[in-house]
Amino acid sequence: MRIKVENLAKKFQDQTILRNVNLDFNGGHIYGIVGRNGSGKSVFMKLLCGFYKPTEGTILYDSVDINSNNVFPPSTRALIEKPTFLPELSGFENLKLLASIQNKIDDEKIIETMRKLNLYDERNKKYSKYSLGTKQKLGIVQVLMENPEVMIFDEPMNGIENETVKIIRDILITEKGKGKLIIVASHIKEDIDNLADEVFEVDNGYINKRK
Amino acid sequence: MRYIFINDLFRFFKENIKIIITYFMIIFASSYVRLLTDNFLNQDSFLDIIGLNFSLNGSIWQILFTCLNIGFYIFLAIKVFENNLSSGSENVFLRVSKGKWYIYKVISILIITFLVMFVCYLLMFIIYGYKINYGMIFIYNYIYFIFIEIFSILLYIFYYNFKKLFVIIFILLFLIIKYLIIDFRLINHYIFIIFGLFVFINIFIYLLIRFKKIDILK
Repeated sequence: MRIKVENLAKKFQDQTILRNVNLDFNGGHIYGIVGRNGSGKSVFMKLLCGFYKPTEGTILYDSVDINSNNVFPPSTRALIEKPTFLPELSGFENLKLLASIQNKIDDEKIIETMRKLNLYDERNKKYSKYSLGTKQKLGIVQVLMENPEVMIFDEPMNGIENETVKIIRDILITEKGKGKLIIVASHIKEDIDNLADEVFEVDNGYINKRK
Repeated sequence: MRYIFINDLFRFFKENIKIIITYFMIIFASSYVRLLTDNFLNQDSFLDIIGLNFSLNGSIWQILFTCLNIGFYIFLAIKVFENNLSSGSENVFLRVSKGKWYIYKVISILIITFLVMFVCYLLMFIIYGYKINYGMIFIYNYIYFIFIEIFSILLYIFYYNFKKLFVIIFILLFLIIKYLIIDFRLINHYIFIIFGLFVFINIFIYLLIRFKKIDILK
């Protein structure tokens, strides 16, 4: 999978969030997006997911313009801002319900992905009883479990203990090895430096490659 | 479908439980008051309470209950429609197309409206007993209110995407509102037209969401 961003700009009323963004993302790589809070990282992620219409420019997924075709990107999963699940259900029930939308994976695959992130023991606990870090891990499982081609993470390590951060890094590196395209935004420099092959910085509406 | 429906059901009832209980309490208390004040309960007083006895020359009671019922079901439809749009969008929209999402959403609104209306009728059954032809009134009430719900969703989409058109329609609606709110006898008479309009508006919204580049996400 390849994502090509051309002359992308986004304005909300009179406020310009992003301007003239030109980037190329390829499968088999991890890309880091850094920038201070409020710099436009999340807006950029939402544009990549097709949740916002660009004010100008195009986003191509393997040469398909998701905006002019009025579609959401194919084989893409994302965790943007904070994970959203039903508090009344357990972590496993939430994932099972989500997986039922496309019906591509079975319970075994969900359990297997939960195991990878040390969530197996908490699978039957209600989501409302989860700690912040555990909620975040469940959000990451939601992204990984259906084996998508493109994975987009916004601040994925929020609230997660150091031991699991290392596990997540290892998982993402393994997924990269399988040819997946992974984009990770974070305001924590260390998260990105340890993971990304290329790093882009969002500043004043521009996104440039960090030297 | 299961995800969208369960998500809508849980969130709607959890986040709006106070409003839903207040609505049920008003309906039940009003029926009880009518039982105490009227000599006998008939279909007219039943229609007053469920908001299907609107008349410009009617009592303030009739006008208030029409507004209460219509307002409540519009609130229900918008709340259910908005779910997935304001939070957790990535869970849904990266897994299902906009067109399919809209179809699932309409089914979700239809089921939740049915459940709420059913409970409302059950409460009124406690007071009214077997004096009313519940089945027929329920069907007409349901079709009329789901039409109003879908129409309000169309206005909601216009509000976020076509502001000028929304203003024009809103002014127009305001001018002719007294002809649009109809009572049970008229609903009975025009039921097939109302149902036809419900289907037509749904197809129109589906095509709008599926083919036109509109922002449905907040």
